[in-house]
Amino acid sequence: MTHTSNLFETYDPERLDELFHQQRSEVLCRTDRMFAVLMVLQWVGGIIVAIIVSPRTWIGDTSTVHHHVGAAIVLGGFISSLPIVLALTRPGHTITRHVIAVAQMSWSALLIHLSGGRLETHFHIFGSLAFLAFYRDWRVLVTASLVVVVDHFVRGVWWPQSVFGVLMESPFRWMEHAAWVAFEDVFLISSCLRGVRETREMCRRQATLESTNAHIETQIEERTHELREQKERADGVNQELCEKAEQLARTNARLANEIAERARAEEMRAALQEQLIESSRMAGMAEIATGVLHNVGNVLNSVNVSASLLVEQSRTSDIPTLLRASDVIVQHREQISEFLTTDAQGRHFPHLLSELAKSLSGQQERQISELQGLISHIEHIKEIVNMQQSYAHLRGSREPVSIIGLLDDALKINDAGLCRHGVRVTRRFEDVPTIIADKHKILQILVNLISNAKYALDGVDRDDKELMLVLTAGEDHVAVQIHDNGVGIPRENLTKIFAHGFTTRNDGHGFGLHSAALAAQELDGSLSVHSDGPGRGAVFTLRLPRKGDP
Amino acid sequence: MRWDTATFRSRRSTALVCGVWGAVTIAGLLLLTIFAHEAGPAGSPPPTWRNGTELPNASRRFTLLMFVHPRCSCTRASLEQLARIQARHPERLQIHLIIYAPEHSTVDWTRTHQWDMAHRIPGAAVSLDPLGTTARRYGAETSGHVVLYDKGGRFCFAGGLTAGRGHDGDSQGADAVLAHLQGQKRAPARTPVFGCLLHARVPRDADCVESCALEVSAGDPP
Repeated sequence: MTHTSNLFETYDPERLDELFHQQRSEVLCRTDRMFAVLMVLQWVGGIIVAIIVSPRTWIGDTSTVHHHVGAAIVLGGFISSLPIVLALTRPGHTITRHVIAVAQMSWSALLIHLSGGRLETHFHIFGSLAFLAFYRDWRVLVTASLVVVVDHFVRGVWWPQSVFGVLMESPFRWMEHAAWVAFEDVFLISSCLRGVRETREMCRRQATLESTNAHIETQIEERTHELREQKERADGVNQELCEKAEQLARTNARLANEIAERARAEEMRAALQEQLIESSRMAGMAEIATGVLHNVGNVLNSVNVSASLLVEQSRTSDIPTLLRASDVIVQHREQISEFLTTDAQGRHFPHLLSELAKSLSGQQERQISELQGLISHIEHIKEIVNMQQSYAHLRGSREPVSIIGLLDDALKINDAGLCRHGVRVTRRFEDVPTIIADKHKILQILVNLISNAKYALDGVDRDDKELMLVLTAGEDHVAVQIHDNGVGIPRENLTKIFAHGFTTRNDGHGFGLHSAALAAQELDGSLSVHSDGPGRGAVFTLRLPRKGDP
Repeated sequence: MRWDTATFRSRRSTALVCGVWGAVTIAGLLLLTIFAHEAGPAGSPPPTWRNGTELPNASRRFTLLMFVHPRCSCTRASLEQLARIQARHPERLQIHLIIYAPEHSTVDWTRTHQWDMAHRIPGAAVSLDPLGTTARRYGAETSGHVVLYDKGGRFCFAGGLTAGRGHDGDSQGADAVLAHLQGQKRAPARTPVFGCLLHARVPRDADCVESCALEVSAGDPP
């Protein structure tokens, strides 16, 4: 339990009692030791006094040692012995100080005897009482005073002249002597009590101080503990930060390396991309070129056929018959009339010429027709080559583009293949505006998509192969959808169909759709695919932004 | 506070030791007190001033004789008491201090502190008493013995001036001397004498100790 009146008046009563008893014990032990020394000094002093004052007792001229000397040595030593022993063996004990009180008063009596009853020696009593007050124990004074009172009472009764100098004195005169002792006791006891109170108050202050110190120390210790914990945490955090800094440094270094590697990779990727784009462009060009060549080849076949027909017609013409008829006329130039009229052969000769002329005329018409077709085929080839040349020179430039025109061109490029595979082409074009874009890239995409549709249709055995081109215009885009009812696309291939190197064709290289997707991305558009599965056709959708509208 | 058996035995032993110590101390002090109040022998002084001695008689003053053993420490208190009495009635008192000197004694033997004290009492006549002859004549056997005669040479008082051996301070003998000096007729004539013996006692004097004690207790004048 702690007694508290305010913040700085808090103390532990048990600690107060402990301090008080400790302080009191120190005072008692110290006073015991003082009296132990005093007992020795009194013993020595008593012997000296006895030797000086009354060394010998005489009978005439003979002497013996005075009884006082023996009393000082023996009785004085005996009186001092027990207090000394108790002071050394039981300091601070109650019995010790009371024995000392009795011994001190006994020493007063002995010294009075040894000093010849000198009045001054009686002051030893009062001095001893003052010394005994050092104990701050009023009971000790009572004990000492009782010894004095009893001594005076006993001697007043049996040896009154030894006390009062007279034989017949008032039986209560001893009380007067006792009263003087009590007079001093009043002050000494009061002083003792006040000393005890002051000691207790001092101990209370000490306990309060200790309590305050303990409180402060506890606070300091708690604060120190907190600071230590904070420091440890801070050290931990610092260490963690150092570790993290090291990790960060390592990470930075690694990142720097990775960045450098990525930069290099980016450079390589850019280079590869450039190469890929170039390859794609080349592939697109090749695709286009293939289509062009394919168409040119077809036209050349027609040209070849027309030329063969012309050669065959020339080889099978009636010109030799005409030459033979001419020779007959030359032979019969003299009698041409006779011959025409008389001769049997001659009579059929005009009819023959007429038939020959008709035949040559028909041959001429056919040859002209073939030559016109030949000219047409050559013109077709010229147009194809010109278109190819026009796209080849437009790469990278942005210009107003008609999506419908591009779709027509793409179909023209793939026309031969589509016709060869018996694909029916259907157009569903909305009225869409022209957009500003790279014409070549869009054509490349469309040619690729139509070419893929053509191959997809080539893979199925059906009579209603159909390629449908749908052109729609949205609010901010233009969409071209290329539907086919070809082989379709498995679901697992939908996500990787635009990946570089992916192809399902044996002769494919995986560039086409990948480059088409890249081209759509470069045009700020997108290319997507949808298929309901194998055998159910596919739809490729090219979205191009309208932001480039003129 | 718990008292176990060992503590109880220890305390009982301590109390026993303290009790024995206290009893012995008391006994020692009692013996010392008894010794201090053991009066020396005193003979019977002549009832009148004995002319013929070398001591002059004072015709107009009381004559007081004190017999002193120069090496008796108890006699210092007697001399101090006598000095006080002389100080109170110097005009009424003729003091003779007779200092015992044994046979073949040297001057140093008698020139002691008591000798000096005797010479410091104003008006006191100091004389040596070789072999204690004068002392025997006046019945003095104990140092400090006082004999008082009035102006007419009649015996007034005999005894000691201290209350015990070497006991300074008030005493019945001093009061008695003062009372006689003041003319009180019923003042005590005998008091015990406390001091060393002036000379070896003769067997006859042993009986005198008892008689003196009886006389003192009775307070009768000789």
